[in-house]
Amino acid sequence: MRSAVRSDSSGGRTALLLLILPPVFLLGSLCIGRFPIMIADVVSAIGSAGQAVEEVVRSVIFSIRLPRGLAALLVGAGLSVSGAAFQGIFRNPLVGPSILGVAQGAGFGAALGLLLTESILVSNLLAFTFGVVAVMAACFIALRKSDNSLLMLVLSGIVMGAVFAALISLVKYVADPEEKLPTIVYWLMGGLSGVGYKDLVFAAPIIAIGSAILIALRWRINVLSLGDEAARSFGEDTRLLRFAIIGSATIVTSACVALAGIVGWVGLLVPHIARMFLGPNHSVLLPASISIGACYLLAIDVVARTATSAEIPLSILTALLGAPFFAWLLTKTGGKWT
Amino acid sequence: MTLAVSNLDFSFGTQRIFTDISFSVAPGEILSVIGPNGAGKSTLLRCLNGLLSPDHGEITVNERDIRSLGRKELGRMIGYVPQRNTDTFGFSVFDMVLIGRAAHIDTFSAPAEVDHQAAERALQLVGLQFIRDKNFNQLSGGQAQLVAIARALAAEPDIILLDEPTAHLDIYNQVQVMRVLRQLTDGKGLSVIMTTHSPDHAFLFSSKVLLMQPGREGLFGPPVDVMTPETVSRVYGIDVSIVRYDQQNPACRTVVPDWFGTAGTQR
Repeated sequence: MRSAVRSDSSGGRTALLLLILPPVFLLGSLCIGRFPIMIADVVSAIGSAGQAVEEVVRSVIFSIRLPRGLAALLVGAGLSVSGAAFQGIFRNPLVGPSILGVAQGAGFGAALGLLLTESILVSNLLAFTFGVVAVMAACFIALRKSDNSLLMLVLSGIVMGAVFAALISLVKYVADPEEKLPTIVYWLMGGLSGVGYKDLVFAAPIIAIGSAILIALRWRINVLSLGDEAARSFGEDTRLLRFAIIGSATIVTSACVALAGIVGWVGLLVPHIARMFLGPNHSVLLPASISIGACYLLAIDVVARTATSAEIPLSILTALLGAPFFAWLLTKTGGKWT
Repeated sequence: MTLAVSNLDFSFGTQRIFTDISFSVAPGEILSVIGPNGAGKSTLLRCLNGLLSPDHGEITVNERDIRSLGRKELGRMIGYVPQRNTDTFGFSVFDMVLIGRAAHIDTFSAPAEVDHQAAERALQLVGLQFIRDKNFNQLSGGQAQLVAIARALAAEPDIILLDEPTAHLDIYNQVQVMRVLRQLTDGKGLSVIMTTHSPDHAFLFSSKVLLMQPGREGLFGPPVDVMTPETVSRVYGIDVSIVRYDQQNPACRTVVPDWFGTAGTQR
C-alpha cells in the first residue's frame, strides 16, 4: 500500500478519497438520529438553505445535527493532526496530543469555570487558557536545562499533567456534590451535546489556524523525527521549529478540549491507522490524519447520541471502541507498520 | 572549498576533551581522524559543522569563520553522516535521502522537483537507486551506511563529515564505502573528513591524517609521516610495529601490536 501514494494517479485518487470522506460522513450523520431524515430531504434542505423542507426537519438539521457534526469533524481532525505531529517530533509512536499536559490543564480550566460561574463561554475560555498554560509551563521547565531537551520536555509534561490532574481532583472535592460535581464530571468525560454555532465560532478558527500551520510544516516533521543532532546537521533550527509545532498542536488540542471535553484515544489511534494505510511520511500522514480523524470522531459521536436513549460520554466510547480496535490492529500486524 | 582549523580546544564543562588541533583539508582530499576512544574524534566532527562550539580556536571554510554562517548555509556546505542512523518510523529509502535536502527547502515548503532529482542523483552516486522504495529500517548495515551517505550528498555539499563510516561493516562493505568516498573526492572534488579506528584505511585511502593524542596537540600530515611506530605506540600506549605488505605501493601499511615484545619496524 505504501507504493500507492508514490505513483501519481493512485496518489491523486487517495487524496480525492480523503477529501470527499468527511463531507460524506457529515451528510450521513445529518440523516441519523432519533428523528430519522431521508438523505433526499437532507440534500434538499441544504440546497435550499432550509426553505424546501418542513420546519421540524430544518430545525433538527440546522440547529442540532449540523453544528454538532461540524464540531465532531473539527475535534477529530484537530486531535488527530496534533497527535501525528507529536508522534513525529517526539520520535515515538506511543505519544498522544496530551503528552505535555494539555488535556489535564484544559480540564482543570473547564472544571474551575464550571465551579465558579454558570457561563459556558467562560469555562471554554478557561479551558483553552489553562491548556496553553500547562504546556508553556512544561516548556519553561524543559528550557532551564538545554541539553537533551526532548526527554526533559516529556518529563516536564508528565509533571504538569500530574499537577493539573491533582488540581482537577481538588476542584471536584470542593464542588457542591448536588449541583456542580455532576456537571464537572460529565464535562470531563467528553461530549458534544448542546454544542451550538457560538461554540464553533470560538473554537473553529483556532483549530483551523493551528492545523494549517502543522500542515505547512508537515515535511519538516520528517526531518525532526531523525533526532535533534541529525536535523541540525541538515540545516534546521530545531528549537524554533519544535516550539512552532508544539505551540500549534497545543492551541489546537486546547480548543478541542474546550469544545468537547477530554476525549482520549483519538490522537493516538488515528495516526496509526493513517500510517498503516499510507506509510510514515508526514507529508501524507498529517493530511490523512485530519480526514480519518474527522470521520472517526463523527462516527463515534453518532453512536454516542443514538446507541441508547441517553447520551454516552465520548471518552467512554473512544476508549471502549478504540482501545480494542488498536489491540486488534497490533495483533494483526505485529506493530509492523510503524 | 578548503576547510581550515587552527588551535582548536574543546571542553565539556571542566573536562578538556581535546587541545590544540590544527589542520586543513583541500578539495579532493580525504582526511582520516584517528586516535584512541575518548580522544574527541566525534566531538571534533561536531565542532566542524557547528553542532558544538569550541572553547578556543578558529574553523574557517574558504577563509570565512563558520560562526558567521547560518545553520542553513552550513547545512548546504557541509554534509554529515552520524555514527548511528536511527529512524523511528521506517521511512522509505528515497524519503530518507530527501530529508538531506532540508537546507535547500524553505521552511513552509515541501520538496520540489529539483529536490527529488538531487535525491535521485545522490542515490545513484552510492549505487542504490534500485532500493529506493525499501524501508530504511530493514536495510543491512552496509546499505544503511550508504543511504546515510546519499542523504548527506543530497544537499550537494562541498565537504562531507563521516563519523566512523566503516565501523560494524564487513570488509566488502568497508571497501564499498571507501570506494564511494574516493569517487566523490577524485571525481567531484569533494573534501572528506572521516573518523576511523582503522589505521590501514588511513594509510590506504587518505591524503592526510590527524592523529589525536589525549592531552597533547594533534599530529597532522601525510599518513606515512604522522603514523610512525613511535607516535602510534605513544598515543595508544602499546608497542606496535608498522609493516609494509606490498613493496610496490608505499601506502600499503598496517599497524601490528607487538604481542611477543619484538618491537621493530620495517619501512
